[in-house]
Parts: sequence; C-alpha cells; structure tokens
Amino acid sequence: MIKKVVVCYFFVLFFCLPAFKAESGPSKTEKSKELTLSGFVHDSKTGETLTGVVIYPKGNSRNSVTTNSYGYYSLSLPSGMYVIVFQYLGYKNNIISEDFKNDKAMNIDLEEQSISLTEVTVNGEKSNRNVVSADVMTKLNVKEIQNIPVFFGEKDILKTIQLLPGISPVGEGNAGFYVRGGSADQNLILLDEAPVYNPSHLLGFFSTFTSEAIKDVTVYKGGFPAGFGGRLSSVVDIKMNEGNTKEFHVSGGIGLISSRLAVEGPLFKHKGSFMVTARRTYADMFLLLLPKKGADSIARKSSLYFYDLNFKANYDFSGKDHLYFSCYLGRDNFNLGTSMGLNWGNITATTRWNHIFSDKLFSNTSLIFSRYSYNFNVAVGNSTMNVLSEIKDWNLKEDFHYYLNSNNLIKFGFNSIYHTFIPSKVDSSALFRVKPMDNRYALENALYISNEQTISKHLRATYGLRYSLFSSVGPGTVYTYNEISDVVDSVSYPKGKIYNTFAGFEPRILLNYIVNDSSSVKASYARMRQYVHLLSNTTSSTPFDLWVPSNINILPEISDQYTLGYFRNFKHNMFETSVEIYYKTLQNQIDYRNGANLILNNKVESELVFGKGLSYGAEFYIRKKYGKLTGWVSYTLSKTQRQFDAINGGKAFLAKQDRPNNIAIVGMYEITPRLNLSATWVYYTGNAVTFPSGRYLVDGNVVPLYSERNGYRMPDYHRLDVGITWIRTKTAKYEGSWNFSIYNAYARENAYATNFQVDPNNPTKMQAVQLSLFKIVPSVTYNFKF
Amino acid sequence: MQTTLYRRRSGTISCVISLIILFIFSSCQKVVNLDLAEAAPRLVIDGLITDSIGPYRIRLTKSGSYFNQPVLTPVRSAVVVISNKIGTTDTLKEALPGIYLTSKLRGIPGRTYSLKVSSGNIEYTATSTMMSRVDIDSLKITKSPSRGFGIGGNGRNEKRVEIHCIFKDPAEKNFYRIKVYRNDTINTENYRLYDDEYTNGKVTDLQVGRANVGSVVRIELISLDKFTYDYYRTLRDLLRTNPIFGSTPANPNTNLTNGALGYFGAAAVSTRTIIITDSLFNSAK
Repeated sequence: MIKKVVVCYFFVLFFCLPAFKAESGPSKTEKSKELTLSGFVHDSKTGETLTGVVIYPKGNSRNSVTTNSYGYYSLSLPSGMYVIVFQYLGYKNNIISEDFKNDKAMNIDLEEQSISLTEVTVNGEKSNRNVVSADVMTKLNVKEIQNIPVFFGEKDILKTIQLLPGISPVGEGNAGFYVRGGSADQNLILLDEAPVYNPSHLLGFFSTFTSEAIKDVTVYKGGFPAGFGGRLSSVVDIKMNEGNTKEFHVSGGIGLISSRLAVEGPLFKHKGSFMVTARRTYADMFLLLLPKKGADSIARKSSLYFYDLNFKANYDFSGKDHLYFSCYLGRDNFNLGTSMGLNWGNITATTRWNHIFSDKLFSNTSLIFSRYSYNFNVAVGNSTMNVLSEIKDWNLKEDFHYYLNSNNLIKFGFNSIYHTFIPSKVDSSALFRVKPMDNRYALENALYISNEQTISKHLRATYGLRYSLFSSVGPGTVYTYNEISDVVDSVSYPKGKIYNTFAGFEPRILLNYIVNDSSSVKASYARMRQYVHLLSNTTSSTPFDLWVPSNINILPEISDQYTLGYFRNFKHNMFETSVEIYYKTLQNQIDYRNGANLILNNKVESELVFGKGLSYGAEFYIRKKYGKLTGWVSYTLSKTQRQFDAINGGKAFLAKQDRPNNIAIVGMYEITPRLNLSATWVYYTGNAVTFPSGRYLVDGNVVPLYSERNGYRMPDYHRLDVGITWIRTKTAKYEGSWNFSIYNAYARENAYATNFQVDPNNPTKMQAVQLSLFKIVPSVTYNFKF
Repeated sequence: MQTTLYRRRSGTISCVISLIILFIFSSCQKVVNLDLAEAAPRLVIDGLITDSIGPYRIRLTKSGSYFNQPVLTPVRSAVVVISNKIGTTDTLKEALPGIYLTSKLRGIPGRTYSLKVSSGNIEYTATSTMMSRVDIDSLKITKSPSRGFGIGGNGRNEKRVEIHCIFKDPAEKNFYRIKVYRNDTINTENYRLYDDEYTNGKVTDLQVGRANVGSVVRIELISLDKFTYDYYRTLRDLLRTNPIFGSTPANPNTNLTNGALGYFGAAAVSTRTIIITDSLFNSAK
C-alpha cells in the first residue's frame, strides 16, 4: 500500500516537473520579462508584520501569493500596468496601481478596521484564500477570537483551536487535545518555532499561552508542508506579537484568579520594537483566609500558583536583515506546607535572523532552545528526596524561500535538534531508596524541499519531500529484553558515539483543483515520522509525564494520512464552508503493559507494548467571517481504533481518542460597537472507557472482572459558555472594558470520572459514582489598554 | 540502611495530584445507574501452597455479576491435582463446598508445583516455584515521625511506631510480600510488596507499617516467584485504581490457563511477632 503511494507520488512529481517548464515557456514567447514585486506587509498602527496576507493582481486571485510567517512576500508578474490587491481579514484592503517596468521592493501597511465597519464598507472583495490556496490549514488571529467566552476569563488559544473540526479536547481540565484520532503527544506545538513540551498549567486547566503575547495560531491537521515534521497528527504554529514599532502601549487585565500585564514599544528609533508580558495566578491567596491554627494550618502555609513571562524584541538592520529574539518562561508552583514541593514549567528561546538575498530568495535562520522540567521534593522527618527531570533541546533551523517565478515557490531547508533527556536526577537521603534513571542523548536531523506550483488555471499543487534521521548519541546503554521483560543483554556506548540511527522519507503532496473562484477540491497525502514519545498511562495529564526517545526498543511512530476535501465559499466569501474526509493509519503506537510502572523506572521501555492505529472521519465546517454576527459551526463524524497484540486479546478496540460525534458552535454578535455578546456550545460523545462486567473473590478481596478494553462510554459531554464584553471607556488614550463570562451556563454535570464503590446502604452491592468537576463557573475580568 | 517500600512513590504522586485538584476546585459526585453487560461466569482459582505444615487450600468459585448477587458461588465436584516434578501427586478433597484440601503434600523450597483443575470439561493449569525462605532476623521499632503528609490531620497524638523488618536478602533475585497482622487482623487490600532491585544481597531494613502501643504485631515475610509477585502487584494496582489518575484497568496477570481468574502460587514464609509495650516505645528512637 505504502509503496504504491510512494510510486504515485513520484509519478505526480515527474508529471508536474515538465509542467513547471511548460509554464515558464509561454512567458518567454511573449517576450515580456517577468518582474518581481516584493517586500513586507505591516499593520499601519502597530507596525507588526502581518502573516498570511493575500496579494494578487486584481481579477486574478488564483495567481495570489501570501506573506510568509515573517510578513514577506514576493510576487512575479510580466511587466505592465497592474492593480494589486493586499487583503487580510479584519483589515481594509490596500489597493495599489502601478506600471511595472522594473523589479520593485515595496513595504505595505494595512489599516485595521472594526468589525462593524466591515458590514458597511464596500471595500471590495473578501479573500477566497481558503479555496484557491494549495494548503489546508486554519489560521486564527487572537483579535478574531478575543470575545469567545472562556474558563475563568482566561483567553486561551489552545482551548479555542479545540473548537475546530477534527480537534477534540482530551477532557475537562486538560489542555491536551486529539487531532484526527492522534494522541496528545502527536501534536507539534510551536511557540515562535520552539517546541513546547508541556503546554499546560495546573494539570491542564489552563494553557501556557498568555493571550496578550500571542499574535496568531496556524493549525495543520493534514496535508502537512514539508517544512514541518517530528509529530504525527498536527502542527500548531503559534506566533508571538512583535511589539509596536510606533508608540509605547500598556495593556492588561485583572481577573478573579489571575492578572496580566503587557508592555510594548519601539526600540532604536523605530527600527525595532519589543514586547513583554507577564501573567500570574493568585488562587492560593485565598488560602490565607484559612484559620491560623488547627486542621487547615498546613493548607494556609501552602501555595499553588503559576506564572508566565513572554519577551520578544526585534531589530531591522537595513531592510534586508532582520533579527528577532523571543523567549518564554512559565512555571507552576505547588507547596504543601514544608513537607512537599512540586514545580514544573517550560523555557523556550528563539533567535531568528531573516535575510533577503534577493527579491526572489528569502532565508531565515533560527537557533532555538527549549526545555521542560519538573522538580519534586518530599521531606519526612529528617529525610528528604529531590527529583529533577527535564527534556532539553538545542535546535538549528534553516529555511529558504525561493520565489522562482509567478508559478513556483520553492521552499527548502534543514533542521537539526540535539535532545537531552534527563528522566530523573535524584538527590535523596537513605529513607527513599530511589535510583536515578539513565540520561539519554539524541540527534534529530531533517532535510526538506517542496514546491508550491500553479500548474494551470485550475490546478495548484504543493509537493515536497522530507528526509528525517534520528540517532542516539552516547553515553548510553541499550538493553535487550525477553518476552517477560527481563533484561537479557546490554550494550554500552561511550560519550559522543552515534548509534541506532533511524531514517526515512516523508513524502507530502497536496493538489488543489480549483473549480471556480468560490469552490475547489483538495486532496492530500502526507507521511509523518515521530521520534520522541510521551509516556503517560493516566487519564489526566500530569507534570510527571515522561518524554522518551526512540531506540531499538521504541521504534519511531509513523503515520500516513490521506485527505479529500471540498471547499466552497458563499456570498462573496462571507461564508466559508468545507467538507473534508480523512483516512489515517498509525504505526508503532505505544500502550502499556498491565501494571506498568512509568515513574522513576529506568527500564520503562520494558513496560511498553506496540501496536497499530486507524482513524477516519468526515469534518463539516461553516464559518461566517464578516458582519455583526461571526463565528462557526463544526461537526466531525469519526472513528478511531487501536490494535495491540498484547491488549484485549489482540482484537482491535476503540481508542480513548475515539469521539464519533463532535460538534462545536461558536457565535460572536456585536450589539453595538461597545457591546459584544458571545457564546460557544460544544458536544461530543463520551470517552470510550473500560468498566467491569463482573466481580469475584480472590485472596480475601473482591476484585472487578474486565472483559473488554474500552467497551463502554462515559455519558455524552455538552456545555454552553456565554460571555459579554462591554467597552466602558474608549478614548484616544485609554480603553477599558469589562468581560463577564459563564462557563457551563446551564450547569450540566459532565462526567469527569466514574468510580465504583461498595453501596454504603448495602455492603453486598456495588454502586457507580460519577464525579463532575464544574457546574457553573462565572468570572469577571477588567481589561485595559493605554 | 533503611528502605521504605519503594512503591510508595507512585502513591505519593497521585496523592499530590489529587490534592492539587481538591485544593482549587470543588467537585460534585452522584450515584448513577450504569447498564453493564454481564460477563459469563468464569472459574476463579485461589490457591497458595507454602512451606508451612499443610493441608493447603485451593478455593474454586465462579465470578458473579458486578453490581448485585453475592460474589461467592462455590464450584463443586472439580478434580484438583497438585504435583511436583519428582513424582508426588496429591488429589485434593473437597472439604467444604468449593474448598479443596491437600492430604499428603508438603511444600519444600526449591521445588516447582503444578496445579491441574478439571471442571466442566475444561482443564486449567498453572505452575509456581517455591523460592527459598528468607528468615526475618529481627523486628525493630522507631517512633513514628509523622502521621503522614496531608491536609487536615486530626491532631491526635497517639503513641505510634514504625515497624522495621530486618533480613539478609540472598544474592539472587528475590520478590517478597510482607503481611502485617495487628492483633491477628490484616487489611487484605494492603499489598506490601518488595523487589530487591536496589538492595540485592544486602541486609535490608524494610519499614513495613505502623502500629499503636499496646498492639501485638505479627510479620510474615513471604518469598515469591516472579509470577506470583506479578499477580499480587497487578492485583494491588487494580484494587488501588483511581479513575482519575489510574491507568486503564485490566485483569491481573495470572499464571492460569484457559481464562481462569485468580492464581496459583507457591511461597516460603518466615514469621516473627513483636509486642509493642510502653517500655519498648520509650526506649525506641
């Protein structure tokens, strides 16, 4: 099957390449030299670069280009008179007329417009980018989603993307999400290109991304560009704000459990800018209200909070060189009196250098650092134990964008990551007999090339190839196990020695058949390989979840995904609709032996079992982008299975990711320019779970009997959140607004877990007790900006 | 050298996490009616032979429905045979409904025992090796340093001690279960298991539990083979499963064939008793 696909792929590649030549042919015969218009696109007010701006000669939207993730564009045209349209959601179109005789560099500013204005301005066409582009991603700007009601008033981009089709939350109080039946660790979550290994705070009730610091998020669920790799199921590419290059601003919010503050402004005479944001929760302040003596005195001395800091600065050297530096630091802290402490968090830092070699060749070089760690300490009497665990990456990434001509955009580059895994460094007194686990080191490399090609008026394609390699680096010991998980052999490698390399091609292709300006059919195939894996056999995510590298005992995970979608816009692109079907197979999926111990276990790989996964489904999506009422409706119908020889007697079973029906409705309504109403409603089938189907007595204990893995379901989940935003003061200098929201407005008792216990009224009977977390959670936040 | 049962860690961690959740969010619980499919009754074999004096007991029952019905349905008139490799074969007699006793077999460390049960035309088998006995050298006590960490200690200040079981671990791989009887009663759900991974061949001081002054504590140090240990370990994990932080529950790993539940094990037991008197408490560290 796979071989066939690869053959098909190369067939298409060879089929396309001649087209490539044929396309460049006619322009020569016309004897008109192709010229290039290039530059950056900025927000006129803040000077922030805008990514994904659509640029095309009027009347020919199929020949559009978009600004890349640094706001750069390059449009090739035969010389002549043109009207060029610059189009971006939430901004007024900028239309320029030029008589092109030479290559031209031109930076463009776009002016933001309030949503109500969009209704009245007849400022021409709206973008049909979703229809004509040769990609299948969803991009959300923080501005578009700022009024969506959220838990405790904390705007959360990771929670918002879970309202898109094909993406479903792991569960209440969990920042994790499943994309098209993939597990939560198969999502590549990038913050300014740096992978964030644990994007959750407070066990997942909040995500690590402070909305003030974020510009936009782009989500890929399939049809992956060749530039991305390393995870099977999705890429969530989050970009931080760059900071206002024109003037200083302070903004922030004061909420019930946390407050935020952001400062931004120009640097070096407007050649650069910076942005700093900070957020801290103070839920634990309430603990101080507890009595000083008695039962709650320990609680009084305890703490529980998290904070986030984001910083970004950039400097434009000459128009041809642009340097960016961004970093993020976030940490959760939990202390229980003096007897126990636990803190965990991420640090990322990215330095990027954009260089424009010519108006056709753009490059970006990134040096990225990323680290997730936790610290756990316990004191009993005089004995103490401290455990430190971390995963740390140094990452060098190079990307080139070569705008060959009006029909071809070639992207190529490489990525080299040096991973350090320190599963546990233990410092303990004798009472706790704990051995540290071996550190692991690995080198992950990838090379890629892709071409975005306009083959004809009706056909656009993006095709590419990625080659990834993953090698273990010494020092390290590789164990060999027998069937009952006993070590039978071990080989040790010295420092710096490269061993156990896995490598493979990852072909990617996406074809877009453009029926007309408002409808298209897109098909894609993508293979992904994943070399680092998150081990967690608990229902909820915990700070102790462990990342492990591939080795001879943990083979790389591989997925092959096919998608077919029909995209159609209505009412001059005011409504975007799509139907997409996908079929995804997964290899070397990980599950756990019965009774597996994943914590502080040096032979943790012997506790794993491996199997296959299959997921397929259909996604329906309608989005209204303009007007007083905006929002979307998404519905996903899907099935997800796993099959392991060692589980469920080898029979395939429904995966915990299986959510046959998943609906999300998001609505935002502008009553007046100062008053916004919003609501979201979500519904999904309850999780597949394992419940007992009998019980028996052994060794003096009543033991539940299980006959099938995930044979039951939790009750269906549904919830309505509503919010209202009232802009109280709005002057040229100050803006203040109140946000009131209610999470779970109709107090649905959604099942979080089901516990079985002896019926207190009748000890011979058992009863099931359902645990729900939140009934109604109201919240209020005051936001300001000056 | 002191050692707490190392499994305690994972318990601690889920305790931490549960606390974090309780800390901030109040939750609500309600009893719900679940319509669980009933599995067809399966044979349950519960049997342990030891190096103590027999007779040894094998109990045969059937599994029942989850929510209702009394659990115990004895399986009568089965043919139950235990044999060792050197030719001793003992056909057990049904003394009480579902309870079968050996008549001549004597458990000897180092031997491998096979169980064969024929019931309803199906034959179930299992084997287990009796490991050598590891004697308890002594039992010691220390004053209990704390009542454990947690919010809302009840403020009682009883005289409590930690009991330490001291033994010399043999050089080979060993697995243990420690049973703690306080005044002749045992908490059956409390599986204290120990793997000598970190203390192989060493004199081991195992903190096995707490007791109040005035109690009589009997400790059994039971040497197990890997399969029996694994059964107890997975059984313990199942009994402790927490729906929020637990893994997907599954039946314990058994050495029995043909889908029988339960286990058949052979084990060598060493016993010691300590009386926690006031004077002993006062002289303890």
